[in-house]
Amino acid sequence: MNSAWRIAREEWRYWLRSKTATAVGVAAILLIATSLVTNYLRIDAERDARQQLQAVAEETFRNQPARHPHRMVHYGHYVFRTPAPLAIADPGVDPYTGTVMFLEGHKQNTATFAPGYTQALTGPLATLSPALVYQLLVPLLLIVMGFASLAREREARTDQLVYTMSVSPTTLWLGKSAALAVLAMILSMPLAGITALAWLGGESVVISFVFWLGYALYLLCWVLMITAGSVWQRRASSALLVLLASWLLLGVLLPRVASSAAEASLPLQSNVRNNLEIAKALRDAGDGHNSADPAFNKLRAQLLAQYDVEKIEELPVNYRGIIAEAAEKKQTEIINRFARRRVDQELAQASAANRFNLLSPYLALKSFSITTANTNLEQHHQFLRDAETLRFSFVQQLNKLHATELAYVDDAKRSIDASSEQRARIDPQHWRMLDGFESERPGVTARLTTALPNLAILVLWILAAAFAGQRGAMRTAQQTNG
Amino acid sequence: MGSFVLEGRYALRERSVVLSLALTLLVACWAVIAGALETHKQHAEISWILEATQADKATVLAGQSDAGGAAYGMHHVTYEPPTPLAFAAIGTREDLPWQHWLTMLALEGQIYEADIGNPELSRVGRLDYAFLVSVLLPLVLILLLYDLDSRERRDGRYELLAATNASPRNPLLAKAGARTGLLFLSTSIPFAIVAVIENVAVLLWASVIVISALHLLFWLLVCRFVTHRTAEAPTAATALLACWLLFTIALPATARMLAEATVAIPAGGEILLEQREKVNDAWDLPKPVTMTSFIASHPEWEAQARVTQPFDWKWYFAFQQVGDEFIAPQSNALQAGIARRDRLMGWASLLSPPLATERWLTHLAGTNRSHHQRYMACVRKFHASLRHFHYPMLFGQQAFSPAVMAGLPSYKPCSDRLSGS
Repeated sequence: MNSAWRIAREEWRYWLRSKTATAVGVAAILLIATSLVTNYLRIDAERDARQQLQAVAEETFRNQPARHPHRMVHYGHYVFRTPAPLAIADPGVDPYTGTVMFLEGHKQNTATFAPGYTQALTGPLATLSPALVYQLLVPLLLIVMGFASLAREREARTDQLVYTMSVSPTTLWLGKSAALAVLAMILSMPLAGITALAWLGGESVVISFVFWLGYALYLLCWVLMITAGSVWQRRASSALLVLLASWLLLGVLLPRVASSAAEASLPLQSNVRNNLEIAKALRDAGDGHNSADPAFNKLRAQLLAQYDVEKIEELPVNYRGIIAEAAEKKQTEIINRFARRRVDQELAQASAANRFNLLSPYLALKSFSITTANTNLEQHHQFLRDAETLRFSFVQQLNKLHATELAYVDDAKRSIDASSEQRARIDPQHWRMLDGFESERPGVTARLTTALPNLAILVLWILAAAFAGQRGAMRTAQQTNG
Repeated sequence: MGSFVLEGRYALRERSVVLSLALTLLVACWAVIAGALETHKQHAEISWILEATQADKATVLAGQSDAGGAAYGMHHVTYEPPTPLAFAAIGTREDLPWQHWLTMLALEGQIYEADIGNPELSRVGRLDYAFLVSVLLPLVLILLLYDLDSRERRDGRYELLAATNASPRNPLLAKAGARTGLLFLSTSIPFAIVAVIENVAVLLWASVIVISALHLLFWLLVCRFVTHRTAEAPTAATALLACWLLFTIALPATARMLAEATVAIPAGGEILLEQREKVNDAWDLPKPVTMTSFIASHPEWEAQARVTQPFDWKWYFAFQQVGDEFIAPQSNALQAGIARRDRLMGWASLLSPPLATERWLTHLAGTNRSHHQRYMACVRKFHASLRHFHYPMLFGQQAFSPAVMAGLPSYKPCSDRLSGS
């Protein structure tokens, strides 16, 4: 063990003398620092802006004057999506999902103004988020630092010298791996810092730690793949070739193949198409604006019987409000059926893409990262669901007011008679019905459970790479001896 | 020329070269075929939607007895069809909306609706021809060329080569050129085949090929420049990787940060909140206040602007328009800001050939930012034409009848000089 550390120390001494290593170090620090700082500032600014707008939206809703409650149904409300605390480390789908959503009666709007809407377009590789830097660029830098670690010794035949000092090939490989692993851990420290910030920002301490741990395992996986590549190739330059090709395949090519395959093989209906289908389904369900719609005949008969009156004008409740409430309920059921279909289609595509995770530690970590950070597709869906719950709740509260606070006669004549119109408004104290909007986030255990399979994949890759590296060390030692 | 062919044959004897080329060819085929399937899917989606919208409009119209109800109830669809070349560069068609479902209500509340793809897949991005050429090919080229010189040096042939070669200052140029040429062929042949099948104009696909060739040429020169000067293969590879990182990631990312820092853009959420206030305030304002603002921009309706009832359709649609006009400065500032950021990125692309390649390809394919903005402008024009069509009926100058409604405008994509096949 001691000699392994000595070898690691020697490797570090070698790096400290090398110009390439210095350049790589500077590049690593620049990339990591830039990505951390800019992403932190961006997410922080957006969180502030969205929270502020959310408060403004609630405030203006409360301060509306006396109105007809159905006016408020269409006045509607806005909800803003605030990024999760760990979005400062991995923004996930945040740049690609809308940040603000308009909630109104009878309709589900889409979340609009994704940050990407106003971004300058540079292609997906040029979005310097900490996640991208750690997932793609740090492994590249580790390759540059470590590809020659064992191949170099063999080319110069210095490995023979080391073996004569009663150092086993496994120890040599272990020492080189340790040197690179220490470097990887040092590089992961800024990430630990940013997860600590996320913890201060309200994330659970377990999640923050596990998030960093996942990245540490991922980097360790690369360390072992690099030393394995270095030990199996006869020359340093071919080791570099193999490692770069692997990086290209696992980190750049495969993810896109996975997403293209998922996109091409599974359907995703556009919202416009959904809207058209919803419109058709809604027409069959009855128009809540039109109380004469035959779809409500049964309800009318029921009400008349229940209150034992002849005409709807004699009902103690406002028939139009009752209709609005019943129609909204039915419409929401229909709308949600289509919304669920869309969500299911998106999830099916995502899980088809995730089926490739086993093939690449990069893919496994990517999934791990967004599920742990809570910046994944499911979290976006949760936002949509929470927004829908809020929409339905305030619209139905308004419809109840419509049914109980307004006289049917005034309500029916409000479009043609100015005094009815005045009487068909209710006191603004009723608009104090909204109490904040916070999208629910899955708990620690739930997130850890979903993260576990991907962590297991990383561990598998680590074991495989360690096995390959150790075997390679033994084999090359035998070859050179024999 | 002869030496190129010969070098090409030599290159094909190397296993790693053949493997890289075969893989590139495979990826290229995948990229163009997946792209073509995607555009076909989009065309099919559009025709389904057009048909369904026609039926939807007819059904809604059949139940209407007045101009206001008809204008209120009908939905219209706008869309931007993919150009024949869009298969090669999906660009903004991935994460910006290219179809909208609109009514006659205030447009600002509708135009930002984002009917886009799966965000988790958008995040990874597509493997399209543009990505292949601008990001992947340089990397493959680096892998093919980084050790040319050092290998000859190691085997002790370098001096001999330099002495006997036609271009003694860069004796491996033919060898590197032949490999670059093979790599070029492995991507442009699949592209050209699909381009011809998809009826892309010859000039257009030829331009794509020229751009791809120029981009590869740039990287060939970078590789030659670096490997010629560096004795050790690993050092050369590291330097080349650094160049790739610089041009592909560092420069565009920096440019983007600068562009976004220097060009401030009004927050979308604020635009939405403010326009809603303006539109809804009208319900509580005296009618003449709204109608006066409306008349200011539509003097032709002055004589018909008196509103006598608590609810009147002409007043209803007038305040929708007043709301749009109120927010127009911010909305224009938003679009202008986006365009300005894009122009800055255009300047930045002078420093980054990969970014320039990506921008040129999306430009030719009609999938870049400015094309998307033209679509949005086209949507606005269409919405204006809807208002123009409905106002005579709403303001009582023309009677509502099925015959008049037959002339209802339907959306036509604004023509673009690049979209022809």
